[in-house]
Amino acid sequence: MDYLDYLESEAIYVLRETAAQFKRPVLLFSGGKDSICMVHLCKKAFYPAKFPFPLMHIDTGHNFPEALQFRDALVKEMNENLIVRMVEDTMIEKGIKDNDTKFPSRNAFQSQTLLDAIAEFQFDACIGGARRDEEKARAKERVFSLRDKTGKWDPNNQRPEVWNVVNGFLKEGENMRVFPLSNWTELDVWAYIDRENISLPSLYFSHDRECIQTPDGYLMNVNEFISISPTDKIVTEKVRYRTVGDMTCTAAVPSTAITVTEIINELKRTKVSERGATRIDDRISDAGMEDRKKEGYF
Amino acid sequence: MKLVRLFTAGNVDDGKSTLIGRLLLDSGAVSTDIIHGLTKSKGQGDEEGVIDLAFLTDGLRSERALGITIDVAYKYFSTQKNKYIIADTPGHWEYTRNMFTGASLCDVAIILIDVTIGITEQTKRHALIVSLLGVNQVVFAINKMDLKQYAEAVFEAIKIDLITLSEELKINTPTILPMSALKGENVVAKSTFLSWFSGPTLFDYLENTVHHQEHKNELLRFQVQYLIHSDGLIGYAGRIEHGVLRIGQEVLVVATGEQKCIQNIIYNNQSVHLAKAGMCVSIYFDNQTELERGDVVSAITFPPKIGNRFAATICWMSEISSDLKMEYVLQIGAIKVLAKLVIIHEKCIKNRNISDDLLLNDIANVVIETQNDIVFDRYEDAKATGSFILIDTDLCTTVAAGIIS
Repeated sequence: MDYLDYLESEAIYVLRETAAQFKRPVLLFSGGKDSICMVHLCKKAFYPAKFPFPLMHIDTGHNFPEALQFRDALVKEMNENLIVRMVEDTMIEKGIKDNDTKFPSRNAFQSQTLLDAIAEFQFDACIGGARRDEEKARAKERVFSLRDKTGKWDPNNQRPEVWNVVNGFLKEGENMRVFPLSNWTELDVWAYIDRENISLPSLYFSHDRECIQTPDGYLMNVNEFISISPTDKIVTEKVRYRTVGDMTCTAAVPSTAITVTEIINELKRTKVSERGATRIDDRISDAGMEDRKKEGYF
Repeated sequence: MKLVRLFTAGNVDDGKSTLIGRLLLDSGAVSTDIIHGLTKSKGQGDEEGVIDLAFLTDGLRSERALGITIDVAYKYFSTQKNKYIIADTPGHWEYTRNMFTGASLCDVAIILIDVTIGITEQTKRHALIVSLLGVNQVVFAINKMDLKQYAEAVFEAIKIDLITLSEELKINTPTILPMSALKGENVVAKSTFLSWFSGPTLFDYLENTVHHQEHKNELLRFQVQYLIHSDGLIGYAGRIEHGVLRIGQEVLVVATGEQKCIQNIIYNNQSVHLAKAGMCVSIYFDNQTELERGDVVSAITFPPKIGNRFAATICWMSEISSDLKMEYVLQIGAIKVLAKLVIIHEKCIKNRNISDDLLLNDIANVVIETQNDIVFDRYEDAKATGSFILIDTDLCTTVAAGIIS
């Protein structure tokens, strides 16, 4: 088998195991390329039946409109069930205001909305498209990753994951996070998108965009959620997005790639990692992701 | 492109994480922002601007603080030929269970030995685990050759000991390589200091050696993982672990002894005539067939065994010691059954405490009895149906992993 066949097979195995071992799984879906691949894999895993679980998006309110449109169109086309929970609702309920910073991040509040939704629907397994190559704390996480009652990940006490035997037993209130794409890299995802002819939001391909350039060189989309000062230089550049997160923390990369093949060639030449190129939220501290995961972040 | 899974083992401070860092760095797999992060997060009092290769895999704050690897870190790199998945497993004796986790699915084991120390108890422990798990390609990397002035005689002396150890543990034709991971000698690039060594670099070895085990063709193992209901039909979804499935083939449903004809195979959203090991498929029989999750399908020849008692070698993974009176859940793939440990024979690897019970990180030969008959194989015949975990259902923890002998 080719390596992509192997990765696909492993992901399908994990999806079916999740459907078999858990009572109420859910697929987290954002409209980004990894979660679009997840949907594609689910179709294969459960063909010809519908998905045995709903999709859910934790919407920060800071998403790119292109990603949301794509999300809604895909769900409609597949006739699957999508749950949307808004981070804004959590913020209103708890009286939380956005940080008064240039790029106000809702990362910290997103985990709370996710945990509330897990409690609301009593989900016992949340499937996500996170990959180990994204970040060094993720590189340590199991495919089936246990979270305690408060959603916390304990990196020093993870369940052994031997062969393909999955211990899906949970104590009251615990839940499992499931990462079928654990062993995929950014390039693997693109090679798969290419091979399977998977459609993506237009954001991923080169387009003209109004951006401000941050002092450390990031190109941030001009939008109503960031505060623009008179000293900011606004430029229109040919860019694309390598990851699609919030508009407040995801940077565009200069690119002229308009096809998947061109993107793959561009990635093979690049010297900067996916999150390094695009995520200003990871740069706050060296253990940024580890800390957020311990608080219940995906 | 082929997929190759490898893992590194060895004593703490033998340089496992450094070796992986070196492989990633010299093969061009590391991005510049990550290299920047490695220089930035170096501990206090260290030389400014020096890259610590180990930090490429030691991703947790506590690991960086302690300077050791606690849990398995997975890293990836690709060449024209292969995509590599590397599991960096901890060297500390207390983390033997994590090493077991990292090693269970690997094609290639790299066991590091510090040339200034030679073979240790931990080398033997790791070699034994590799042998038990049936990892088919084993590399002993004799590291830190720079500290012995790259002397051939020192290498040869350790090599002789390793060959003896391999013979004892039935590790077939191990590859023994000298290197310095820190200095990058004989990892990716050939070393001028090691000009006396005619063998390959580690990287050449990985690129040019055949990595996938051939299985007996006549063996067929398919376990029902999930039932897909649609339009009044039931698709039995699962992965083919061994052998091939064909439409029209007569197969054995092992638990009931029934022979059934495969009417359809779905792979990749379409019907296929033939499917091979490694593929996740769903198979269809006639309407009278009722299978459940966990049922094993095999060829009529070479079926698996059925029984409620078998010998196994297990690695104990819980802080709570084993209890002969306790009922555990034994899980083989999708099969779950209540089971007890009935006999603990000699321990292959002992915990430092003397006890008849099994303690964390002990590896021992045992006899297990299950409440009902189950379908199983010897691990050396079929890994998927020959390996299992034991679960403590009160705590929901995996207390042991084992292979059936």
